[in-house]
Amino acid sequence: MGGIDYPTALQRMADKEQLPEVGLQYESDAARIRLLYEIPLSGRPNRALEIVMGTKPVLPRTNWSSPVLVHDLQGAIGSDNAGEPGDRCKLPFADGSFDLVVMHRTLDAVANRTPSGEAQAYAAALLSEIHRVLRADGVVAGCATNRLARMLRGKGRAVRALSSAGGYRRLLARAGFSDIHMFNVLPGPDAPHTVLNMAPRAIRAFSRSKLHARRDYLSWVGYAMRRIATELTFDRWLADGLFFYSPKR
Amino acid sequence: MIPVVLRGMREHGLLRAGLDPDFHITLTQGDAIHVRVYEAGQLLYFLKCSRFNSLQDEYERHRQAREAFGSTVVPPRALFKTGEWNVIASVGVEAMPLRRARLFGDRRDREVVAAVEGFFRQQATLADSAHRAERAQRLAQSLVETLDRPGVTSLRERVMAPHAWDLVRELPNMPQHGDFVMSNLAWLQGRLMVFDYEDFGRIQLPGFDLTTLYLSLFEFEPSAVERLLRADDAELATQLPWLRPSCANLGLSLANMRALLPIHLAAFLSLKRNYGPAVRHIAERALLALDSSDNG
Repeated sequence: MGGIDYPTALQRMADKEQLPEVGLQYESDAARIRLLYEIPLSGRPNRALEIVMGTKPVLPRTNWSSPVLVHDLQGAIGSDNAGEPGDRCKLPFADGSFDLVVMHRTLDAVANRTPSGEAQAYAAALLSEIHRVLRADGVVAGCATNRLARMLRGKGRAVRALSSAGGYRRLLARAGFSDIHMFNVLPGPDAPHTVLNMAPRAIRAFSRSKLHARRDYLSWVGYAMRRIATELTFDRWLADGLFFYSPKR
Repeated sequence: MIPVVLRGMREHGLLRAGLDPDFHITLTQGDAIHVRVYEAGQLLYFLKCSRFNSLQDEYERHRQAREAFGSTVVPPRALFKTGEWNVIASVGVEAMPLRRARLFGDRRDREVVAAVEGFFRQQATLADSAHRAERAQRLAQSLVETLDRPGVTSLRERVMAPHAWDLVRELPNMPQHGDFVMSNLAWLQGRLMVFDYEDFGRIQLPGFDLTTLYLSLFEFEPSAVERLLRADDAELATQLPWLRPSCANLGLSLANMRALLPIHLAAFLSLKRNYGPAVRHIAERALLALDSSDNG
């Protein structure tokens, strides 16, 4: 191809582009993160709490529809203070204070900033506290890294993940949550695009369709391997990002 | 959002009371969310949900397409508002995406080729000659606005070439799908299925869908634009034997298709102006390939 400098020409064409008033509402990653945390909601939450641990909160930068209270656990459990996990995870709020509690990668931070072997206890204590501060029908929602996926992909050592889908489900159940919904979030929690229910029959149908579309670009061995993985629904264990939510019943 | 949408579905009789379906969600980069609703592994519905768009126009376009193309189009079931969400519910069809190899190359499938040719034959039956000049004028105006940018003068001249517009004014109006790309085509139990009717009928220029289908086979690579302009008839007949018959079904010659190509590409960019940068980039790159083909 000769005669034209594509990047320059494209830039010239893009110079006049402005975001239209409608049509690109979910263009930014922040807008889609907001939408992710709106998925479980029945209406606009009046009182939202985001729990972080030495990380930047995400809800305020998504232009969330109501005021968001941010609580940072760093001082309580990220320091060398003595005390049991149950005491150190106490949230300074009355019972039934919130409609929504968001923990965007908070459990990842707990895994990475607490002593090895104690992370599960801290997470369990924190989730129990969240259950306490939620009002009836209030929702806990969060994203976390899938430890099994990281181990299977050989990336387990770089960043510690607290648990895998089943483990997060058990932690939520122990904290008192019963109606637990667990999803793969692709490509990841910080730029969500696809949210896949982890129910085997639903994910199998979806994965078959996606694999079929890629068939021309795979060797027959590659296709066969992926087809087996699809039928056994391995895909759901291989996604790094998990999204979960549970209403307090 | 999901509880609100499920409640709306129950209120409109789309879900049995007590059924708690599984769902997958796609967060688009536009202004809508796509939800696939499953029961026991069966895709029940495909939902398009938007807070920012009433979806009324899209629903009407979808219904018109269903009327025009019958079983090729997934039936739209309902348009409803629930809470702050507008929802189009279509019957869920877990059709397998149409693979490129079934239309291009040595392994292409005669059944699929015949179905694609048949689609264009069916499209030609929708031809309407009323108000041709006004529609051509509106299209020209929209393309002038799309190309009203610095640095693309020669491209604009090429798109607005008088001889091509003489041809446009002679051709009948024929509602085009608007996004007739491989990812919107599927194969289900021996028949072609076409999805996504957001832009159905916005373009009425014959051959537009054929051009987008051809280019999507090559992922809108600039070389595909050059190939269509320069390849000899024998080469095209060997690799894409459905191209000439499809043109003929639309009442076009291959030479006419080539003459209309700049207008088709500019119209494609015009339709994509409200899409994200990635999609616009693809459309712009294909259009700019016209300049390259002049200079190459």
